[in-house]
Amino acid sequence: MAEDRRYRSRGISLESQGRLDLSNVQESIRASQTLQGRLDQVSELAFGQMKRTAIKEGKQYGAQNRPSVQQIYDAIQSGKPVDELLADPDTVFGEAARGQQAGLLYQDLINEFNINTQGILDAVNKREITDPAEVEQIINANIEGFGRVMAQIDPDYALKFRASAATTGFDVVDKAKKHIQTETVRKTRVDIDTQLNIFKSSYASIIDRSPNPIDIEALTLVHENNLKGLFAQDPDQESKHLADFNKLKTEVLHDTVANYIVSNNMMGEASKDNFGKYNALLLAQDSMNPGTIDAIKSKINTVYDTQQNLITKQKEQANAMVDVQAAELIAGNSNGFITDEDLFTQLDSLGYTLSAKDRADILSDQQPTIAQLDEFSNLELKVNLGQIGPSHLDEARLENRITYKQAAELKDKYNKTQTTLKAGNDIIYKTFRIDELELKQMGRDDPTRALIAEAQDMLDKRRIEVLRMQEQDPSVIFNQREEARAIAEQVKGEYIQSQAPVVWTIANRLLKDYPEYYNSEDAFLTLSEEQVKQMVMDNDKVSQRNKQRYAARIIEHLRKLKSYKLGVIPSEK
Amino acid sequence: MAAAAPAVGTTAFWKGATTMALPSLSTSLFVGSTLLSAYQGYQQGRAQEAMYDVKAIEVLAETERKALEYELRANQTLRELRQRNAANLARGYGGGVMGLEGSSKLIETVNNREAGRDLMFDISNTKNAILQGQTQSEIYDTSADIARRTGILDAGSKLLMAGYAYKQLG
Repeated sequence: MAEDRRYRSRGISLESQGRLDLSNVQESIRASQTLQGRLDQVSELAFGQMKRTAIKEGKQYGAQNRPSVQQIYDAIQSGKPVDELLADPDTVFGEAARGQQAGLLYQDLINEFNINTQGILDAVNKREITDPAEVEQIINANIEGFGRVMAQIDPDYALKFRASAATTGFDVVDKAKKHIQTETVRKTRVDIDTQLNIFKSSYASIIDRSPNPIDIEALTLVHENNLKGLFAQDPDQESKHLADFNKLKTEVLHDTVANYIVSNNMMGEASKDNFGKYNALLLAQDSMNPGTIDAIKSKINTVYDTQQNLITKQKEQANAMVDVQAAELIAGNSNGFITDEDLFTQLDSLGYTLSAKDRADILSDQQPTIAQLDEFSNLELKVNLGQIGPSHLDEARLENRITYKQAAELKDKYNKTQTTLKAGNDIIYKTFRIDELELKQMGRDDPTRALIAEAQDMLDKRRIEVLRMQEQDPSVIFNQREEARAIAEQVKGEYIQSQAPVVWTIANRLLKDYPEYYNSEDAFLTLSEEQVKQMVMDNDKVSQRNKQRYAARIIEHLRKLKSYKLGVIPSEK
Repeated sequence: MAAAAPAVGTTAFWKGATTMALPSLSTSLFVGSTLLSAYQGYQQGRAQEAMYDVKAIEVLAETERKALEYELRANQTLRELRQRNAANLARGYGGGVMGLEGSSKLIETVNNREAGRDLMFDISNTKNAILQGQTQSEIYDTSADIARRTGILDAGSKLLMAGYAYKQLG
């Protein structure tokens, strides 16, 4: 086969060599981005620092230049913009300062609000405000006023203020309401008591003047309605008040009628259901409340008994006084100080009645027998010791163991012993191992002085107590010496019991620095003062002078403790 | 005369060391992490630089390979041209005509023109490939340089910032 002699172009042309990778440009961009990023960070860092500084300075400025609440009020009242008093919030510094000022003002306003609410509560307590609605109104006005002021400064704080104030305000209103309610009820109850007392006297007077059921109803109608109106203001106890009121009316009626019957000596008629001017009233009452007449009869008896008891007691008291004076006069006669004639005259003027035998005894110059003299001495001792009283003496006289004059003398002695507590006081001094002179020399703070005074006071109270008991039972005796001894021992014992442990505690503490440490009270009490002086202190740091002081104090407490153990209260001299 | 400093590692040296104020743990952490971060930035730059260096060498090698391909194809063109022209001459003389005249001459002329065009294109391609490769290689060299400088700059700026921040602590 013949070879092709033609050359045919293979279609070669200029070939593309591909795009250049402009990595240098990309790298430059990356480098500049990295640098920019770093510069941004530096700038951010520096700006952040500056911002923090500005915020700090702003807050300082805000704290140092805070407008007072008064300035804010003045600005509002004079129509000036409140903004002028505060920092401009357009800069970082200003924003921080404004925030600080707003925060401080918020606190000031909250404080002011709290003070105002406290004032409201005070006013409520002082009853200057008595209407709960008024409290609510004042609180709301406060919240609204303060809230508006705060809103002009910082809306966020205004919201916060309203929330906080509303909570406090609610509590205050609630407290005030409760207080006012309690006060109102209390006042109503006082009014009810007062009105009931007024009604009581008025009702008694009405019953006395017009004992007619129709008149009574007409005359008490207004008062009764007023009272019922008052009762209704205390719904919790309305029924109780009504019951008390009805009870009071019944009591007044019974008392009035009973007093009338007794004072007019109509007990006999009353027992036959005749109550004089009260007949109509009682019949009407009995028809409405069966048993009224029986109750009144019982009341009449009670009133009568009470009145009689009173009269009897008064008489007895008068007689007792006469007896005391008569005994003194008869004793005077017996001793020859008063003549028989004067005696009779004075006894007559006293109203003291002498029996024929008594008179004969006085007039007779008969001297007491030896047995009577012995008995007299015996009874005199008992009288002095407080072992017997007038009833025993009367008994002895009736049995002729002593003469009339002797009995009178002993009664006089008895009266004099009873009216003075000298014997008892002497016993008290002896129990405390002291005499009256020593007592006077004692310092005002000496415990013995106070203890003696306490014992004397107790003795006096006991005497009064016995005198009261004698009214019921004349045979009760006031044994002044025994009572005084018991009281003095009790007072002294209680004092020693309370003081001895205190003295031992101090002594125990003082003894701790000594090797011969006596850890029990009994062991300590075995020490003599000489032994204490010879004890060596186990503490090098204490000076010789202080060691002596320590020993002196231990001895002082040893003496005290020993005294207490012997039942003696050491003098504080 | 100043006292001689204790030798490192001796008891006196360690005794002195214990009395020195030791930095707090947080300060140590801060300094350590900052140094590491700066070093990391520097190392990143160096890695980038190395990568561009390699790329530059790679692109030169690729260029040479391409240039060789063009050269081989040009040689092929020349060889084929000689074969065609020889065949043409042999045919002319074999057919009784003057091999270097007439139609044989015309065919040879056309053959020369066609092959010459292919040859010239391949020569241009070779030149272009070499130029492109060298240009790309230089670009990569420049990139490597930029990457190294960026790494150093990044590390330096990190150290400066850390120093500033540390100073702010007071």
